[in-house]
Order: sequence, then structure tokens, then C-alpha cells
Amino acid sequence: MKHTHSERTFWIFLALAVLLVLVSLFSDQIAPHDPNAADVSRLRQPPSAEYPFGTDAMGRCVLSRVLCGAKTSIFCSLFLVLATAVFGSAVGIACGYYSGALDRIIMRVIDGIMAFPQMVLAIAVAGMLGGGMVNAMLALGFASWTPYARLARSRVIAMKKEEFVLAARISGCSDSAIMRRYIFPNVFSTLLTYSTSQVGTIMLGFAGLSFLNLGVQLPNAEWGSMINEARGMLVTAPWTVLYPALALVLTVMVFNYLGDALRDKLDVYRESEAAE
Amino acid sequence: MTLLSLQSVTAGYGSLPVLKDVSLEMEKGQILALVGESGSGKSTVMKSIAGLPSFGVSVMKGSIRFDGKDMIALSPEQRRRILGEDLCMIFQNPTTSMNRIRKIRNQFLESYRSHRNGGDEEALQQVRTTFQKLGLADTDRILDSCPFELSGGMCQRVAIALAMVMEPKLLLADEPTSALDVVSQQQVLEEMLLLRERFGTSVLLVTHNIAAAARVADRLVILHDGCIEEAGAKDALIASPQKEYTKLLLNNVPRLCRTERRREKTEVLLQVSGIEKTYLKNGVRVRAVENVSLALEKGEILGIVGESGSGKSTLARQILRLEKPSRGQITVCGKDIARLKKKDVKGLYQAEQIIFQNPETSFNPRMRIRESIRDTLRNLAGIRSKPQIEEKIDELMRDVGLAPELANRYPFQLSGGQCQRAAIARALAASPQLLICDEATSALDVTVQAGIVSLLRSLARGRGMSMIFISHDLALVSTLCDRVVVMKDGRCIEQGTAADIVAHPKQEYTKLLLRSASFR
Repeated sequence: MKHTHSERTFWIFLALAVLLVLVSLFSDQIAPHDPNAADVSRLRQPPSAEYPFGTDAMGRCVLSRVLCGAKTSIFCSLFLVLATAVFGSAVGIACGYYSGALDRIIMRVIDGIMAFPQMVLAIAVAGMLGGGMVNAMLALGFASWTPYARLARSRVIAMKKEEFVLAARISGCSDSAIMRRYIFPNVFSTLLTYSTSQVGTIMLGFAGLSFLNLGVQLPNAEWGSMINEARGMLVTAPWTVLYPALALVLTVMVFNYLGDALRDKLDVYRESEAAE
Repeated sequence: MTLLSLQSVTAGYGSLPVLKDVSLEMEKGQILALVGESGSGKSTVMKSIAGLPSFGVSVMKGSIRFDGKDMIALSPEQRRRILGEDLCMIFQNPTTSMNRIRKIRNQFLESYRSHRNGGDEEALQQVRTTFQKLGLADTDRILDSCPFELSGGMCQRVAIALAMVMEPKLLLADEPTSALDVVSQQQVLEEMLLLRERFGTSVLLVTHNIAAAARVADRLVILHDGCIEEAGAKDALIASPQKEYTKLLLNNVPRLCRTERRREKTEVLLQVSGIEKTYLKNGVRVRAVENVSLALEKGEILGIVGESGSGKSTLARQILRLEKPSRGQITVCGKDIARLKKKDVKGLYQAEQIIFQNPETSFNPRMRIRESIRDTLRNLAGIRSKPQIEEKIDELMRDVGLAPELANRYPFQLSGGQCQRAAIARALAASPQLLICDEATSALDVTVQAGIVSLLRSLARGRGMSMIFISHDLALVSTLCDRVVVMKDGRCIEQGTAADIVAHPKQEYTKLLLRSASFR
């Protein structure tokens, strides 16, 4: 049965995620070479003992660049997902709970934002703000907080008529206490599932912006921009594409599984089933 | 002649047996009622007879013979031929057992074609005759409607009639009246008697409602914990039950109470005058409550009786200021609750509390019971110190007859009855002067219901608390309440002392409620 393993799964993926974050934090110390040091004497060398992941078109160490890229990719994506999730769900819960005129106005604004494809909107905003990682985060954040608000709002509207919410009102709880303690815990798992699925999307979004020179500035490493840079060499020097792509896929997978395991763990129902 | 026989059947879900050694026999043309509380395995009996794989029931031991065939040995295809042809099933909720948004005609023809080769017109002709035999007028209008356009009672009658077109030998009915109001309940039960008379069909009625079972069945089988406790002819079994459990079950069925209860006049606690509530539903104005006025004195227990849709819950919500009335005034302790300022609302909830119908959904599923009660104590009883709060929670739990340790559980870890007691404890935490019970016992089994009702009675008497007890069961209300209000279609049609209403009902509707509530 799945839930009997869920505890172990959770700890395994949590450990992997912590490992990834640690690697991204200490990448400067771990990296065997200077990630930005070009050397024309060793262009596109296949993996060897000195360069385990080989070198790229400018003779830079791919392993070092993958490690340094982790900082930008993982750190920025996680931070951005967290920020958009918190902001979006707070707006959504408040809108759903109070409804009224302000709710309708905010929802129409959200409809407007969602009418544009997320990436196109992010490119437009980033273009206006100019390049740089901070601006790229603002642009992606502006384009990606809306689904949280919608998701939270729809759940809250259904939930606020439920008897336990009425009971909370009758037991004298303030509106903020009801939203915080009665409604939020019951929409949390939905939001969590959605936000873990967003980690990958946001990483790819950064990669896309970097490709257009709107994200990370060259020569700084970032997985998405590394893949884009090297995509012409897929046949001649596959390792230049393979390793950053592998890093991206593994990271996205680890965070998705971690999200699933966390949801199972937080689910009090499953907890009791496992105990029986 | 024996139509259906179960020989020492042991069946269950997965490897866990729910039914243990169950044997029963059914004659042709007999109506047999299988009575039991929730968890007694009564639905499992029915599911193992029908044997659909999606039910997930596996028969581990014993044999089930229907109409001379061994049901367990049948191949899926052979079983498919029998189901719907010789053996039909009716479910609890008629509006969800059919596709809500397809015309009944199409749904029926689909199942007809899978059994017979006749043309559509021939099939519909058969439907018309069957409907006629069962006293359903307007066949074509019904066939052209979707289930959501019909009332629940009508839907159930149509479902039965459509099942009868195939002239099955046996009809399995799983709680067919539980989701219906009193009037439709009556009609569905009468339709079952008609089935037997006109078609000679046998009916296996599975129900928790022993009163309903007693009205139609020839034989009763009492099921308890997956075993047959007692079986016998209806009259004999009800008149002289042999087993303790049967006696307990019969004793706990609420009966109409005719004794006059005297009480001193006290000051008025709640005054409801001329309340109206209208909703806009799909552009049409619907009146949920129409010109209702009532008064409640301190220490009085008022019963509000009516079926679903009669506006009794809306009224309760208005008294609690969860909904605003469209017109009229409600005063609690002399204060108009519509004019209360936001900070005074707490004071209102110190005076009145509610217990909802479904105890499990009235607690936050992600909070332990203790935390929910703690909220009430902190907000409404004004107790701040932690040890004092914990001590008070333990005391409240004991007051409602629960072990204090149960407060550390989550709501879904408690049984329905325990959870409802915890809900009462939470309401009492505010030490209210008025307790509103909105169908507080309707989701519970009769034996549990009896316990809750006697708890409420002693709490109300002991604390001098007023109570509004909302229910659809007039018998239950008559045992508990001093005064009764009968509601129908949002209006209050009759008021009086409980004994008076039971002895001298004036309205036709009240008489109907009385008839359906009388048992024995």
C-alpha cells in the first residue's frame, strides 16, 4: 500500500531536496574549476577525469557551470513559487471569504492577466523592466500568481457555507482566525500540490527568459541558458546539453515527489488509516 | 415456493468479513424487511445478492440461490442477464441513481434494449401500462423530463415503476425512503404494497427505519454486527421480541407522547415576529420563510417539525444571525439582533448556540476536538488561563458523557454519536441560554438517537436552558418538547402544546405527520 511507505518516501525526497539546496548554496566552493574561465585549448572535450562532465564550446567546465547554475535555477524558482503561492492564496482566500464588490474587481483583473499566455506576459513585463534576475523574477511572478488566487477562491466559496465554518463563527472566532485556522488548513493541500507542479514550470520560465537575454546575464551560468546555448551541439558534443538537462529533470522530479509526499503526510485521514 | 435463499453466507470487503453466517429464505410474493443500524451489514447482504464486482463484496462461504440458480457460480454475462430482468435494484438517493441531465425516456430505453429486442414504441407502451397499474399519471410528461426536474419522491416512484416494466421476480430496495419526506415516504411504501398485489413481486427492503419496515413487510429480519439477531413474522416479532437487542431497538424507536407537561410561565427569551426570507433562484423569487412568528420562554423546549424544504433550517440560521431576514424582527433577550454592532455579536453567541445535523462536518476536519472547544471557551466564556481551559474541556466532556481523552481525537476518529456529544460539549462551552438543535439526531441510529435525546433533555432541565429542537420526526419531538410548531412550505401552519398537537391535530398535514409517526 502506498501510505505505509509515505513516511519513508517523504524523508528520502526531503533529504534529496535539502541536498540540492545545499549544493546550490555552496556551489562556489564545490565547483572544481572557475565556471566562467574560457580556454580555447580545450573546446568541447568529452568527459574525462579532470572535467567529469566535459567542456563546452568555449572550453568551460560543464560540471562547474551545472553546479553554479543550480544556485540561480533552484534558489530563484523556489523563492518565486513560495512568494507567488503565499500572495496568490492570501488574495484568493480573502476574496472568496468576503466576496462583494472588491472581490469582483480583483477577479476581473485576474481574468485579464490570465487572458495572456503566461510566458508571453512574462516576456512583455521583463522587456519593459529590462534584463536582470530580479526583473525576471518580478515578470514571472506577475504572470504566475493568478492561478493560486483562483484556486483558493473557488475552494473557499464552497467551504465557507460548510457547517464547521458556521460553527467557528458561532464560537466567536474573528474573520481572520476563521480564515487562518479553519479555512487555510483545508485548502493547503490543494495549493501545495499545485505549487510543487509549478516549480518545474518556473524553472523553464527562467530558462526561456535567459535565452532571450531577459533573465540571467551572461556569462553567469543557468541551466536553461546552458541548454539553449548548447542546443546546436546536440550531435557533436551531447554532454554539453545532457548534463544541464539531466540536472533540470532530476530537480523538477525531486520537488514534485516531495510535494506529493508532503501532501500525503499532512493528510490526517491517511495518517489514521496507516495507524490502523 | 422459495425464491431466494442464503445459506450461512460469510461475506465482506477484502479479507474482512462483515457478514457472519447469515441465512435467510424468502418466498415468492413476500415483502421481507432487513432492519439494522449503520454498520450492521444490511447493505452488504444486498450487495452480495446482486454480486456486481464494483460493489467490492466477496462471498467467502455459503451459497446464494435465486430462482433456482446459484448466484455465486454465475458468469458475469449470465449475471448481467438476470440483473434488471428478474432482479432489480432501487437505491437510496433517487436523484443520483439516475443520470440527472438525461431524459428518463432515453435512460429507460437504453436499459430496455440491453434486455429485450422489442421496438421502442412497444417498450414505451409497456411503460404506460406499468405506470397506470402503479397509479402514476402523466406518463409522457415524466418520460420527457430529466430526473432533476422531478421531486425526490417522484423520482423514486418512477425508478420503481421503470424497474417493474421488466416484471422482475425480486426487487432489492436499499433504504428507498430514507432520503424522502414524509408524504413521499408514504407513497413509496404504498407503491411497494401495490407491486406485490399487481405483479406478485417480492421485495427485499433494506432499512434502518423499523417503523417503515413494520408498515409494509410480512417478515422482519433484525441484523446486528453482521449476524442475524432475530427473524420472524412482523406482528409476532414486534409484539414479543425474544432477543435483548431487538427489545432495545424497539424501545428506542420514538413514540408519540400524549402526556401533558406543566410548566410555569417565565419571561420571554426569544421573540420572532413576522419573519420572511426570499431568495432569487434562477431569476425566480422563492419564499423560504413566510410570515413566521413565535416566542420562546426561558427554560422552554420548543419543537419545530417539518420536512426538508419547509424553511425550518433557514429560520434557525436567521435566529443565529447567519442569514439576514428579508423582513421581520428577531429579538434575543430583548435586543434586536439585526441592529447588533460587530463587537456585540459575541454577546449573541454567548446567549445562543447551535448543534448541526451532521456532527462530523460541524468540526474542522483538521483540528482535534479539544482545539475546537478551546476556541469557544477562549472567545465566549472569557477563560484565558491555559490550565483552566483544559480543565473546563475535561469537565464539559464528562458532562456530555464522553471520556475526556476523546477530546484529543480528530472528528473522523469518533463515531457519529460521540461526535454529536462533542458538538454538544462545544455548544455548552459558551453556557448559552438557548440551544438550537437543527436535526441534531437525524443522521444517527435509533439507539444512539435515544441517548442523545435523553442527554439533551437532562441538560436543558439541569441548566434551565431553553431549546429549539428542529426535526422531521413528530414522535421524537413529542417526547422531548413542551410546545410544537408545525411548518410547511415556509409557513407555520400549527402551534400548540405537544400533547395538544398529538391529541387534537387541526391541519390535514399534521394528521399525515402523525400517521407516519405512529408505531405499534
